[in-house]
Amino acid sequence: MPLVNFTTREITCKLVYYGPGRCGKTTNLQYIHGRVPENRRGSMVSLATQSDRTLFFDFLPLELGVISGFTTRFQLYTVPGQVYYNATRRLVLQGADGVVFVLDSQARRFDDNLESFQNLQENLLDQGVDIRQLPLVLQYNKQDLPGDLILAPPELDDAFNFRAVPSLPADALHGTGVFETLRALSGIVLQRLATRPPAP
Amino acid sequence: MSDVLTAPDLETFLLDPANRAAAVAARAVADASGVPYGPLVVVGPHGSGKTELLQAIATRLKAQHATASVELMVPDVLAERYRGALALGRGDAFRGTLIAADLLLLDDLERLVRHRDCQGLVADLIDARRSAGREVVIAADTVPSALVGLDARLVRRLEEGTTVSLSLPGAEARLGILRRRAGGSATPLPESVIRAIAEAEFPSMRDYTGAVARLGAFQEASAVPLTPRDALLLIGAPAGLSAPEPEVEELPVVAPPPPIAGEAEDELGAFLTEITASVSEQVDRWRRRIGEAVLRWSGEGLRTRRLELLLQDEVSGDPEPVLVGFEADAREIQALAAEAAQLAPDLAGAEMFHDPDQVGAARAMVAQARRRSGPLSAPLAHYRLEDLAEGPGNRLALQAARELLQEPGRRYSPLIVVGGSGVGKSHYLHALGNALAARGIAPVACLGGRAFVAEVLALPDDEALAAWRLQYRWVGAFLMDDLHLVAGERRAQEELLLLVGELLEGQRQMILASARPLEELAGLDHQLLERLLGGMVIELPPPDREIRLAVVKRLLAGSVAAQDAALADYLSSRPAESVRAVQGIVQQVLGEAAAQRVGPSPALAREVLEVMELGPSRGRRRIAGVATSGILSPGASLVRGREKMVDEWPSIADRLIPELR
Repeated sequence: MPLVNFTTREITCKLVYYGPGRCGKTTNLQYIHGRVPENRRGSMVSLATQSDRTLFFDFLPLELGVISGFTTRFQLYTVPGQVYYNATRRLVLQGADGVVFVLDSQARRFDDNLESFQNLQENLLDQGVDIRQLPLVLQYNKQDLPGDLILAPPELDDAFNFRAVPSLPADALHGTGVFETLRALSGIVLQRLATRPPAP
Repeated sequence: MSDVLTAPDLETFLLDPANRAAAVAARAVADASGVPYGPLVVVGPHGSGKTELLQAIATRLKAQHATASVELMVPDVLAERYRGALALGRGDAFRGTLIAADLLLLDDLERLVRHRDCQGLVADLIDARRSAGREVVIAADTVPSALVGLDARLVRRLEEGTTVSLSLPGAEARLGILRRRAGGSATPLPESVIRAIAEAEFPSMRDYTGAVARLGAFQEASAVPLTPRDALLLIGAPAGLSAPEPEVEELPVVAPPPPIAGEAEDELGAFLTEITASVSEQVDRWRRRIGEAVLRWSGEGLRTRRLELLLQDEVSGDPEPVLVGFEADAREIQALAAEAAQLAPDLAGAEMFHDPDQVGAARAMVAQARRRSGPLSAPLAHYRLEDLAEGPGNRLALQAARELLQEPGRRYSPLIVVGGSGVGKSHYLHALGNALAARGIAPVACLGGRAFVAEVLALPDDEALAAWRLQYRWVGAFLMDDLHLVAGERRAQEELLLLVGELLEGQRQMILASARPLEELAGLDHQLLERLLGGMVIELPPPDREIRLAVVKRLLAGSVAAQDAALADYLSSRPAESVRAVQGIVQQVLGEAAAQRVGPSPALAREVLEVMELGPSRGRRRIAGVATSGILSPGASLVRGREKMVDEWPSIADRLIPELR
């Protein structure tokens, strides 16, 4: 649930990018980071391994300014995709207001996507969160790759989007679909301000 | 520069993400989107473009609706116009003009602190325009609550609105603004010059636009294209700035923005616009909900302080539980007030029943009232004022009753009714009690003097006495019959004196009936006497001929003699000291007629009534000349009461035997 603090007049939303390793989660954040003016963004914190994989998590705070009297902030996180960092994933997932599940569209990564998606559901369940109640957007990344290597969005929808959540094709490296994904998730998260009372 | 190109444009503000929220709100106002800002307060430092934003709103509105009336002014102008209008006696007209304008824009709010006499006007304008669904946009260089000397009510009104911040645009946005400014010039400034100016550091946007204007004028007068270095020297840009290198200088043509930057603006801009709209909608939805709740509950006469706090900055916590809690308390306090009205009418008007914040105290008060409110003796329901026959004798009393019912407790309280036995005091008292109850006065306590004395004497201790007092202290009206029976009862009189004092103070109606004038009552406490005589004393005399006739007709109604006017006239002519006596006369005649198995007639009435008056000896003599039914009493004594005769003839058989003989 977005944190609405009526005392300090702040709205803070925590959005988490989830997905298998090397699917493009950090690339999403890097693209956003590169497009946001300095006065609107904090430092992007990225803890990476020697092989440039995310070790802990990426964190990108976005200051959206004062909207209707509320200082509005988005906090974007990624989780480490590698299987053995599940404890970190669970930690980052705590208190998430919404999740972007980034899939690698390559056909050969199908199983990785599936495993990560199941891992997301398990981790949410462990925290008492029903994935059906959490704002979720699927991003089919790497759609710029040759067609014979990837699965098309309808195919990925058939396999993963059985709950009919918003899904968007993307090429995070060049920015295609990055902001569209963020907008789609933000819209759902902010709508919950009205459907449920905000937290104190 | 052409007007079109120099006219402020909201798109200029959209270029800068930092000001997007303000631009979106401004555009919503200009487009009359229906989003209630009420008012929209734009806060930004000096030179951040507030005035330009207000002008942009006006321009956009006028572009869409050429006939729209827009009032844009600063406090000094507002004050001058207002004072001028007041001097001409046209203050209301001026106020009306500002209320009726399609859009009201007030710049430089901070200058309003010098015009205290106009601060109330601005607050009123905000209220009136908000009620009329018209927007007010106000620009200030700081948040209103930080302005010393600003009327608290106005500050509250401004805080109830929507505040958006405006800051000095970043270099990219400045570039866009300056390009737009320079675009209309006959001799356009080179792009490198505009970029150099945009990258210079001035404290306010006015400095940038002023620099472009000055350089534009210089360029028009000069055949030599300006270089960035010369331009910065000309405008006296702050030292230490490095102008772009001459070798990268571009042709003096307005170039499109770099593609990457443009894409970034589009992507981030679209994102921010959507987020701004989303957040505004959700937050304003809360604000609207709270505002609606304030209107609803205050309209029902309840204090809404708790909700009003939600609209202020100092509110802490989540509004939803506060709103839900307030509405629950409000509903409970209304139910408690309704119950209190039944238990103790004077309590219903108490302050605590209008303030949901005092629901605890109200709950305790009603609980106490419930415990102490025992059953009160009520007036007998079958007595009605309409059934009282009206005549010259009781006309004053009936008129007083009618007037009393118009303003219970305020006129004729206490009302003292004095009259002999059977003249209709009890009927009058109970009927008035029922009429008061029918008018919502509750509860109406109605009891006799003897019962009152008995209640007081039966109180075992001080606690019981206190409860008993409380029971009567809360009545809506207090009626006592047979007041004369209280005379001589010291404790009862003390309590009655106390009660009369409290009920008088509470403006509750009191009506007391006595068989004798109060001054003649031996043993009546003089303080109580004085209190009671301070009210209205009305005498109910013995029934006059008119009343007697009405009573007789009512008693004869339904009998075979109902249409016998002569009988009714005769019976009403008989002297009677009370209505009860009239009833006796009629019953005597009807009974005799029934006994003789004849219809009631004037002759029979005379036989029954006048012979009775003459006494036993004379009656015996006169009976001979009167046609009778032939039924003779064993003693042949007509002066004996019928009841006696019936007693002596316990059965119809016994009566028939002598007749057969």
